[in-house]
Amino acid sequence: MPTDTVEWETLNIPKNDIKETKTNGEDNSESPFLPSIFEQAKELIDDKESSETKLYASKTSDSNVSLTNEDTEAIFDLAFELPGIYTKSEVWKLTSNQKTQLGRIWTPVLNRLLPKINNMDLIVACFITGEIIAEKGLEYQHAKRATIINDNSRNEGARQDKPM
Amino acid sequence: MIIQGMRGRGKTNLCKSYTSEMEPLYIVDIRNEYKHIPAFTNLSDFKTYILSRQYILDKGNIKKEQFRFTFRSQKELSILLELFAYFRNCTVVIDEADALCSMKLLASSIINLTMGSRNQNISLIFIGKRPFLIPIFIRSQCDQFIIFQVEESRDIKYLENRLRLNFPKQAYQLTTGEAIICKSGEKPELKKFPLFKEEIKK
Repeated sequence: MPTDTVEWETLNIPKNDIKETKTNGEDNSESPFLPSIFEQAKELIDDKESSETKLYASKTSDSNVSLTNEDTEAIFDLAFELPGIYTKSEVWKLTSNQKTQLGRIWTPVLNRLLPKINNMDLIVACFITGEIIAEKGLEYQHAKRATIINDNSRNEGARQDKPM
Repeated sequence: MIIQGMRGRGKTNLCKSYTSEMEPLYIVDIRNEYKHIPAFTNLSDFKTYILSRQYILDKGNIKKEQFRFTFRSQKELSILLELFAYFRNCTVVIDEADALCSMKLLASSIINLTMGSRNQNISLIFIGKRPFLIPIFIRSQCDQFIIFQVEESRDIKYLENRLRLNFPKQAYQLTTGEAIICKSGEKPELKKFPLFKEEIKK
């Protein structure tokens, strides 16, 4: 896959080979970390199955499709159009006007982007917009929901527009 | 510092050049744009780095201590931002700061980081399209604004109200790469930033 990224060597460091540095827990003034960070870090649950540490400047090698600039722009427009939405459940608490906006923005974008859902950029964008379509496998369901919201809000909008 | 402006007008390019020699440097790079430096893609790897930093720097033959974070989950990003409170003597860049600050889970950690940054000698750089989405506490701590082209009337009004300065050029008339530098107590300066060297190579 062609890439325009700067190539970097991947570092694979087996974790078994890693020993904590002697400075851990000491107030080494050259360290960018306060000593208390080590306790915090040790408490983090290591849920990664891989036994290797990988540091790399990534190519988006895990995707077999790529987003165009237009796609990326659409995603981030989306993120900024919906700054107040944080969770899926909150989508359902939106006002009628917000739903109208949501449907108007989401439906065409989702229809165009969903085939590319595996791309990391989109997943990242999804969690920005509130994890609405972040869960793989649910993407089409959410696309449907967006469409439904669109239809409903159109109906609600129509009702609102009726003269009193 | 806050770098603001519309998409594609030069914010990231400027940040790449500005921070190229800074270290230690940590960039929250949710858009995966700073591809000239190594990335942590998950919290587990960063935990290993914290606990075994010198080993990794030596073993990996890493000349510049510059890393970025391209975490995929909001939860991991939240934990990372909390860990930033234990950093010191470094530069932290938060790209798409306005988007991240709009997320409840992350906003308080970013504020905490800002509160502790002076005591812990952390230089903070926030990058975003719409700075009024960044909490006012963070904006009020900022001593330098770099403004690339903006067109949205709300963004322009924000600039006029916030900075109360006469710009050498209207913000909506700026061209790509051109920016107004507003430092606290100084006259705003118009500057054109060249393309970052790694971008020129492409």
